[in-house]
Amino acid sequence: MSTSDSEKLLFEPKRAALTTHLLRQSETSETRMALHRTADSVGESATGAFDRLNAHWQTMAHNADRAFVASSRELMSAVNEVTKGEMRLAELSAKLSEADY
Amino acid sequence: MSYVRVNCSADEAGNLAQRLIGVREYVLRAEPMLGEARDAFSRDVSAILDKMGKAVSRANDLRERAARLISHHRQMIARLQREMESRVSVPSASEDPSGHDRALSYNEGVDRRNEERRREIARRERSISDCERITSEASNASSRMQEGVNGAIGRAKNSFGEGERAVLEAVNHCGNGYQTLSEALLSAKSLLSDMCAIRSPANKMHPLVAKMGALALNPVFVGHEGSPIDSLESIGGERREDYAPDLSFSAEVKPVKLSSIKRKDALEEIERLGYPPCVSIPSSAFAMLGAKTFVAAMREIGYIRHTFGENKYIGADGCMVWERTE
Repeated sequence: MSTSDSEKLLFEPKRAALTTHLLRQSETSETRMALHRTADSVGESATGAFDRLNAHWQTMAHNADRAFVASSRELMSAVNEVTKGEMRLAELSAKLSEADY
Repeated sequence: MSYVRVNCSADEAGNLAQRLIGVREYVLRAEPMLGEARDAFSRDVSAILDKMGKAVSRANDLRERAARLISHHRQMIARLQREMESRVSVPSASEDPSGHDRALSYNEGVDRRNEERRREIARRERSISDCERITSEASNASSRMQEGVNGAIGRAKNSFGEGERAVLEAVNHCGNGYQTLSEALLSAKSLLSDMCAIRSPANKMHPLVAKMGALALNPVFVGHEGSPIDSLESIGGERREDYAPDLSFSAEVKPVKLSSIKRKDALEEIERLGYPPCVSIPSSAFAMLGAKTFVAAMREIGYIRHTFGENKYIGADGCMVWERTE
């Protein structure tokens, strides 16, 4: 498996999509603004709760993103290990052919 | 006497609730995406392990091929050693000149052929040495590859697990939180849309009142001077736990002489309070009449939108709630 093959990891596009989804803020920002606009009384507690939830979501999203990036990096590393092993075995196979007469 | 300051309309509360439901759905979409990522991750791991398995198999084939070659070389060396020839004794040239020359010639041939055999043995021994080194290196390469791949996949799985836990925690925590918030706002919408007079035993806080407190609407109560106020204070104190354990609002109680209030007085009270009351606790039929007068005055000047059916709250210890129009 070459480096270009490693870019074809099935996980990578899914990870990227999940990360984009997790870190996307626009919808929640709009909601927060709407809550702030309308709420002195109802919103007082609602915006506080929303902000806490949102902050938690963002923290978890960043944690998840970091972990998934690390996971993807390790998968790439595993692919590279296989590639190195295959190349070394190919070299040894050629040497063995030289010893075979 | 009391009022609730509501700065958003029922429609706005409803819209916010819908938006929060949308946010919750957005949050929950992370879960199926996580499932897809998990499947892709598993397939990648399987593909890598499969590829590594094939490489390990190739390493094993290589070792077997080397072993066969070593065996072959050893057989050949044994055969060459068996074929090694011995020299013959050489007779004296003076006694047997022709025998002497033939023996010398024969021994030269023996030496030459034996030397070729020795060179061949040496070549095959070097080849055996090469094969052994290749075998050892193939084993090392295979082991290193397996250690590297298994270690990397183990770390990848650990990291994926961390990410997975973070996503699930966020989905569960935030999904439930947004749902609660949506429900609270839908309750607020319901409260704002349908605020009405509601009867309730005086010794219990009505769930709607509790809900208003939970929503931080800070309900202020209007009650007849005298016992209803005491009764209401006890509602706001001891009894709140019955309906809303976490309720922490403090009810403001403003007394109004409901039992004898006239329309003009009611209007003055409304003017004095600045906002129409939200909750009324009439404690008697007389107080209820006053409350009705009060409500009628508010309706007249356009302060209120809804009240509960008037006859239903007649009687002691009733509680009524209404919504102002602004």
